[in-house]
Amino acid sequence: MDAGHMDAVLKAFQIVFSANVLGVIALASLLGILIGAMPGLTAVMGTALLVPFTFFMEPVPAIAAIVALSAMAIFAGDIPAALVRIPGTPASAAYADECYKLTQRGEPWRGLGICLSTSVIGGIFGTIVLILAAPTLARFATAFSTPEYFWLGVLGLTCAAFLASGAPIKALISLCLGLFLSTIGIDVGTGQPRFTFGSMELTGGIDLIPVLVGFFAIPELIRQMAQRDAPLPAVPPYTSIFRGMLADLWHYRIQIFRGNVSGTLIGALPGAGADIAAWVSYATSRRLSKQPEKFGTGHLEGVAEAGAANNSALAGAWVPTLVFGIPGDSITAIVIGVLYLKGMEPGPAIFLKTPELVYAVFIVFILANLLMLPLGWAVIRASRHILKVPRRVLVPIILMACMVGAYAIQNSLFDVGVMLSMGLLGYVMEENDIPVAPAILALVLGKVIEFNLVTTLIKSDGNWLWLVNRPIAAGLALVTVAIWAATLYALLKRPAAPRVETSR
Amino acid sequence: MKLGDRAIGLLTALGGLALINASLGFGTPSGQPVGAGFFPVLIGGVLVAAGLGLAALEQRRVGRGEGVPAWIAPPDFFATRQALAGVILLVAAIVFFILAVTSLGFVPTAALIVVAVATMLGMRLPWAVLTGLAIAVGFQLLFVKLLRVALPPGLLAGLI
Repeated sequence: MDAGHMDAVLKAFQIVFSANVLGVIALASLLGILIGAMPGLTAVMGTALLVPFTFFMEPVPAIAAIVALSAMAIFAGDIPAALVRIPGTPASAAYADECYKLTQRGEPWRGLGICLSTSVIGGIFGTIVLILAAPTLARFATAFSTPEYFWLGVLGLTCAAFLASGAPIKALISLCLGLFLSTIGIDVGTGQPRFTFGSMELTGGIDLIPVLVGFFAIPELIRQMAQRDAPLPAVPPYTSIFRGMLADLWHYRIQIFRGNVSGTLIGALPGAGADIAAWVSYATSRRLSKQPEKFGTGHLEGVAEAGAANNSALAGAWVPTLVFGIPGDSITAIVIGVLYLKGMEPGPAIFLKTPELVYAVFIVFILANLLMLPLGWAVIRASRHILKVPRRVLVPIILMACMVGAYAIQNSLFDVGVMLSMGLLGYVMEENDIPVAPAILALVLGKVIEFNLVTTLIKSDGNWLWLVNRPIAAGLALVTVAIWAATLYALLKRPAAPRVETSR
Repeated sequence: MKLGDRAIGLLTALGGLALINASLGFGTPSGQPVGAGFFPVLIGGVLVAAGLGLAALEQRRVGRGEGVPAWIAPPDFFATRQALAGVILLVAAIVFFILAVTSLGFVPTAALIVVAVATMLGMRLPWAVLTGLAIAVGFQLLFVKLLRVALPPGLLAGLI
């Protein structure tokens, strides 16, 4: 490591270990762990509601808050999954049944102990991969020009629509909706207003934050308002999560390692996040197990593998985010939005221009994952009470956070209206099994894709071959076309594809 | 609102056509290969293809006798009167916020909304009023004092 890097690392430590940033990390962690532990409040929703606050912070605490909140929420989703069979976030859905069976067998704390420890291990493993892979990939990415970025964007959206969803055509529709939203406002190329219907507010384009809050929080509020209070099943008295934990970890070390690797890889895949990682890992664990018959009866094996996978996916998702500016999942799509808001364009240049920011992200990841152990233990101990927080208190608080959050960014009531309409649209989409995550990724990537496509065509004077006449661009194009072809083939051959839980 | 795949597909295709139609009017500046309408036309094309594809796949399932899904069905919250009222209140609360917050101010508007939502969810009125005030003042302090975001003072101008 040369002196420049060393300087950046030291500077990053200095920034992160200031009272202000540590305070933000602690608060965001606490918030994340509570949000994750409450059924219905997902990690993505928590992150979306956090963004308006981060808007008023310095870049490092803003990003640190998102990292800490999302990591904690993904773990904490396991708590209600294990205790009352309701996954706190979609990332825990894959093994909620298995964890709950453990609880019914009288071993809830052993199950949660494994969930917590594998989450910490997975998170740290993913972070190490991020630290090693991101700068190397970034050096490689400095040779990229507009055609490469165009294809990276298209590939990212392709993965989000076709690999991460059980309903590819519906995901494609959602994606086009996001792309359309990204075209609203002044066209950068020609200066012409597009689809503004004469509205002054729309000339500036649709702001990401009201759309995020609308898509991820309003549908959940609608469901909460339409529901009757159901009595929660009793939570058994706490004994200890640490009893037998090390023995269990050692026993399932191979599964945990496999979960780490597949989780990080799936996370790094654009569009596929922690929940897909957990589903895939749980299925892999069962397929490769020596005792597959025990799965579904309260068996730790799959829980260990999938529990590690969802947390490692979180860090994995940051690899394409930081290196190419292509989000790995919905949470990193939000991160990209925040980076742009802070005037920092994600991509290889960020490693050269503000390396201290990149190192700070790494440090925060490690800190947050270490903090997860004591905080997770405390929240598991308090879980009885957290699960009892009544809906009638929670719903008004979330509603207020939505409205103020959408308003605060530009002091604009128009944005509150955008949030409401997007929320209603998101609800209708979810009711019809149209995933909303591709729309968010497309809204973030739409401008990037359009800019790089149009720039390439202008540079080449309209020659489309320029999009594929450099080797990396051609390679990316080939992969993209292959995924499209495979999806089309699968659709025509087997029209009734089994539905997979998609990330919300 | 639940729609069958054929309904979603046809609506999507129509939306795509409308998008293409609107985008073709943008024109291309002289000396440039593409104009402002170029990218939206591409999106419209994909929408038309995806919509028709979705409708065709469901039509094929119907043709094979794999059940006939409804074209349209009411949303889940139409099931009970209470659920419907809850959802209407939620939407009304956000609309009320947009219309009233500038004149009434953030704290009164927020408190009223919380009282309405909390009582609808079964909280007793005195508790709802307390909760409303606590949440409204809490958000006011958090945003105005800590984050320094201006929330409309309205009726309480000069007091807070």
